[in-house]
Parts: sequence; structure tokens; C-alpha cells
Amino acid sequence: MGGFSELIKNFDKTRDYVREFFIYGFKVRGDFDGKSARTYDNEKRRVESWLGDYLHYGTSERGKQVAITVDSSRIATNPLYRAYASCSFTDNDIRLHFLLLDLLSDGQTHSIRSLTEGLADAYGAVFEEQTVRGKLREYAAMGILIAEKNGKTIGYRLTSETPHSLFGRFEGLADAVKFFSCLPEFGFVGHTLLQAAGMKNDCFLMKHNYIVHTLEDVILRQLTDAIAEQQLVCLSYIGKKKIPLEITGVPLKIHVSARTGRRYLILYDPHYHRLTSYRADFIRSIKTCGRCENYGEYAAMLRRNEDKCFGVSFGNRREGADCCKFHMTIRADKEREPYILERLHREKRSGTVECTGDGLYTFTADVFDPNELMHWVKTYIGRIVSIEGASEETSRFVQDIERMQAMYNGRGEEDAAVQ
Amino acid sequence: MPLFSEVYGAYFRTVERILQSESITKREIDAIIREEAFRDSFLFLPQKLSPDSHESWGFLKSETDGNLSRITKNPPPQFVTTLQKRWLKSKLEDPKMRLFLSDNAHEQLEHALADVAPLCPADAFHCFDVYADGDCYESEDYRTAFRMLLHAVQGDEILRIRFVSGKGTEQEGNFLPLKLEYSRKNDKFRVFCCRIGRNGISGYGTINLGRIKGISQTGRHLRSEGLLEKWQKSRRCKEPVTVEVSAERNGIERFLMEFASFEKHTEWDAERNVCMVRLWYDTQDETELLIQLLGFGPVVEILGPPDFRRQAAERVAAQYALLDGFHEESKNL
Repeated sequence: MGGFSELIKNFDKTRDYVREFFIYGFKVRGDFDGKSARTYDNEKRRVESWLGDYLHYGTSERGKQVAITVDSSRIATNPLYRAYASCSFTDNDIRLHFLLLDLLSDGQTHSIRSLTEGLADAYGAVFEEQTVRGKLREYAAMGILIAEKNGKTIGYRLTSETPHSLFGRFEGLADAVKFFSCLPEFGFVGHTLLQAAGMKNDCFLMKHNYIVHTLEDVILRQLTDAIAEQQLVCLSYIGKKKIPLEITGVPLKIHVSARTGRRYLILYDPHYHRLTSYRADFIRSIKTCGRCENYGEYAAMLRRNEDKCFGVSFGNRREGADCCKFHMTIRADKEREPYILERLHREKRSGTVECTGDGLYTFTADVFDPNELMHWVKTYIGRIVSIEGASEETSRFVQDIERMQAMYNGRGEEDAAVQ
Repeated sequence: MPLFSEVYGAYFRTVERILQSESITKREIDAIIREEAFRDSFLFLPQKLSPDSHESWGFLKSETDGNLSRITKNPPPQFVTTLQKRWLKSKLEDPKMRLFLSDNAHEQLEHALADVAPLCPADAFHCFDVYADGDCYESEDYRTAFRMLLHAVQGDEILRIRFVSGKGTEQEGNFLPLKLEYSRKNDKFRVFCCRIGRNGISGYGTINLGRIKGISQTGRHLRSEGLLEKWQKSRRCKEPVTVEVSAERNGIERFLMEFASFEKHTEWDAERNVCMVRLWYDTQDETELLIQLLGFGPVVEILGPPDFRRQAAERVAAQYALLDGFHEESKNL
């Protein structure tokens, strides 16, 4: 395994492996299509090095399987943040980091030349001025240093803000960072602040915590920047069918499911003139293709249509096409089972709930894609009196219940056959 | 302004901690590597830190007493990057931030971060399936209770709490808060706590913060170390739920994604193209799990434990009986 490094240049390949180990857990070496045994071994070793405590090994008839298994409602910190701590660097990067910061610790402004000379004089570290300039510029862009122009020369000084000074100045902020660092969508950034201050989350646990999606945050960063800058983007996308696609469009929003943790990019597709959603975990890379002049128009189109989207599907329709009026009636005893009605009310999203009979309650919603509701509908199994407005979905629901009846109670197959 | 940068990496953190001390022993260096870096870092980092190695980064030099001293004059300085500031600024827009910060502190922090843009536009993310009856973070009473509980968690302090239970009855007692739990799906906080009786701990429970009617300090403290883990262990199911997931309708991926937050064991039966999954769960969440599994319809079959399967079978039978009421047209399509 010569040349192995536990640090990596980019996230793409590793993201796939961590995801496969975490989500599936049953895959064996041969299941990693198109990857050499060496690649598999290196990636597995890397994940073992980062997340050793959470890895479990098993053997099946198909071979040795590796799984990352963790009850994420009981952990204080997302262990997958460790993958973010594995960015590779050169020897010069780390030398310049600690030596330059040491020279700049005095809080004074230094010119590039004086810093280059200081490196040689104080530590015997000889660097070309151009190399030092590059690192100083990089750190100024990151906000670690502040660049100040004095006549024709640029000087650099260290930012005065530290995590400790921030946490000291604003009472309660450290606890807030502990909390928000546990949440998805860039929680890792909060985690770096805590680490820098030598703190850990010791107060909060997260229920319904889908930690694996943190691996998409690198992609989400680019997407949210493109949204903020109203840029047209070109996505490299590999969907369920594993066919690589190039998709160009206007990124408008990220839809997130709290139930599954999945994130979807809502994109205006100028070719088909419609809104479409793409899973963030299937996006491989993003290129920006210039500012979109009509961004406001497409954002308004999303606002007009969003309430008819039960989750992420805008159907196969262009704007203005009909959507379906979906009704589901359930039975519940208001006195004895108030929690059922409470559930219906809190889960109805853009729909409405009304009492339509003795112990009968009807949920109604205008939706583009009734199929998107069916998973949720089935969580009311045992109470559903009728479904209307979506004949295809209703038919499938009936068939599903018949199959489930056969599965659990051994009846229904004959009935289904008679029909 | 990358998220994935060596500046936030484990190796930089390790070196930063090592350079905190003017003089350090090899044993102390090993301990820092163990705490900050990865399992295999012992194969890579020591030669980078050793002054005698040709691969050395040159940060340390050998002393006559066998210790190592840093070549830098000062401990590595701390800094807050623009990425971190932008992240903080985006969190200022979250109503939950005011649970932690007073209005005054919120305003001051906003002022301090005036020169940076939020990490993403406020409306860039839309969580479409969050429950509608989330906690009221604007309520002053709620904020007071939250802060009191948070301080009690950190200080092992016993509080007097009056609240409405899940069954609708009002209860009051002394409680030792152990941890606060947040669910994004429910958009609610709850607190895990021990009930304190005359003779010490008399039980464990969960209180929803939205149901707290009164809260006050008692001035009494009790060590909470290990209590939450003990309680969690007692709530863990005796036997995992075993399910068979078919590949139909992309069931395996959908299922495993949705249940990714559970401790689980999976095995794929290639011959039948099904996945056998064992899920360990919190017994308090049994009904929620049952509902979640039924949502997958015939793609998922609950195989056991027998009582869990029986509950699913009862709900399915009840639904099967209701099919007669469905429109014939939809039934026969």
C-alpha cells in the first residue's frame, strides 16, 4: 500500500465510499463497480483511520462487508466531520502557516518583503517572495489576515478577532455555536469554531439526525453561492440510472426533507421552461456559467408554484398546467384519539383539514404530483376511508394494501385474484 | 473561501496544540496526536515533527534534557475566518439564535458582523416537511425556561418544573436536566431529565419545552455523569426490528437513506434481490417507527419481533377492511 495518505485532495471519491459504507453497509469489495481493488483498499483504510470507532465488519456469503453504524440521536458531534479534517497540503503550506502567523503574532502590519526576510532570519526558512505573497493573499481572502495598502506596498496583519474574544464578548454565543454545529447545512463550520476555542458540544442531542448529508455541504456551498450571485450553473449529475448527465439551469432554492435529511436543488430548466428538482447527493460538480439576467422572473415562478409542490416534484408540467386536487379522508375519534387529528394538522403542509362527517376528517391539497403524497398517506394505514383525485395512485394504494394483507394476514391474495 | 481546507484540518490542529507549549515531551506529542488526528496518523506525523527526520517540518528542536522545544516565539495565534463569520451571520437569522442571545447581544453581534454577508441567502433552504406545531421561540417564557435548563444541564443543577404531560395532566416536581434534544422534523426541544424524590433519583423522563408552565431554581445540585447513558441503555429495545426490504420502487436505497440515522445491520440477499435489515430503536419511539415502516407499503415487510409484526398486521387488516369503501372505479382501474 505504498504511497497511501490519510489526507485527500478532494472529496468526490471519498464521499462515495463513506456514503456506501454508511447508507448501505452490506456492500463487499466487488460491489464497488469500476474501482480497482487497490482503490477500494485505500479508501476503506482511509475511512477506517478517520472513523475507526464507528466501523463494523461482517461477513456474508458474498464476502467481507464494512459498515459505518451509529445511532445518530446519541452522539454529540457528527463523526463524519472528521472527513472534512482530512484536506491534504504541502510541506510549504504548513510551514508558512505556522511561521508566518508567528511573525504576525505581534499584531503589527508587515510587508511581504519583511515577512520573507523574517522567515529566513528567525527560522532559517528560505522562501521565494512570490511564494510568501501567494500564501498571504490566500489568507487575506480567508479573512485570517487583513491586507492594508501603504502607498505602493501592501502590508498584512493578523485579524484581531478570535473565537475566545467572540465568545467572551457575546454571552450565550458559545452555547449557540454548540447547538448550530449539530445542525445540517454547514454545521461543520460551527464545529471548527468550537475546536479552535477548545470546546465541545456537551449540552445537545439531535433527534432525526441525518449526519451523512454533511458530505454534500461542499456542493451546497457552491450552489448557495450561485443562488446568492444569481448565476446560471452547469451540473455534472449521476442519477439513479448511473448515467452521467450535464444539466444547465438556474439554481433557485434547496429543498430539504426533515424526515429523510435529503436535499434537492430546485432548478429552472430553460430548455424545457420548467422547474425541476435534483438530488444534491447525485451532483458531482458545478460550474457557473455567468449571471442570469431573468433570475427574478424564475424566482417568482418558483414562489407561485411552491405551495403546490408537496415535497420536491413539480410534475412533468410547464407552468400553468393543471394540478390535481387530492383528498384523503381518515377516521379518528376526536375524543379518544385527539393525537391523530393533531398529527394530521401538523403534517398537512400546504393542505387543509376539515371535518367531513361523524369521526371523518378530510385532508385536501392542490398538488403537482400526487404520487409524492403516497408515502405519507400510507403512514395512516388502518384509518384511510377514501382517497380521491388521483385515480392511478389510489389504484396502486388498493393493490398495495391487498399485497400487505397477504403479507401480514395471509388473506387478500384470493380476493385480489377474483377481481 | 473553501469549506474543505487544511486550515480546519486535523494535522494543523495537532501541530497547533503541540506548539502551544514552549517545551514538550514525545509522550505528550503522542497524546495530542491521539486526541486530534486520525488512527493512522502515527504512521505519518511523528517523522514530520521529529527534528532528526529528513522529512521534518522543522517546528521543533531537541533540548539537552530530551524534551523538544518549539522554534516559534509565541503559541500559534487564534483567528476567526470569514467563512466562520459568514456562518455565524447566517445563524443570526434563525429564530432559535435568540434562545441563546439576549436581544442586546443579538444586536451587538449583528453590528460586529455587519461587514460580512451571510453564508447563504436567508431563504436559500426550504425544509418542506417540518411539522407545523413547532415550539414558539419568540415567547419570553419559553426563552427563560430554555436558558434555565441549559445552565442547569451545564451545572448539574436541580430545577423545579411544572409542566403538562403528554397525557394532558399537569405535573410538578424536582428534576435534574441531563441533555437538551432538538428534532428538526418536529421543530421542538425536549429535555431528558431525572426526577428527584426525597431519596434521590426516583425515575427518568422527557419533558417537552413547549409544555413547561413554570420553572425555578432549587439551589441544589447532583452529579449527572453517566445518568443519561444509563437511561438510554434502559430504553434501547431488547430485540431489534427485523425487516425485509425489496428492490422494487428503488426500495432499498429509499429505505436505507430514511433509516440512516438508526443503528442497524444490513445484509443483501443477492439471489432474491432483497435486503435484510435489523434496526435498534428507542422503545419510546416504537409507534413512530411502526408508522415510518408502514409508509413503505409492501416494499418493506416487518418480520419481527412478533409483537411488532402483530401491530403492523392489525393496522393492515383494519385498512383492508376499509377498502370496501373505496370507489369501485379506483379499485378496478
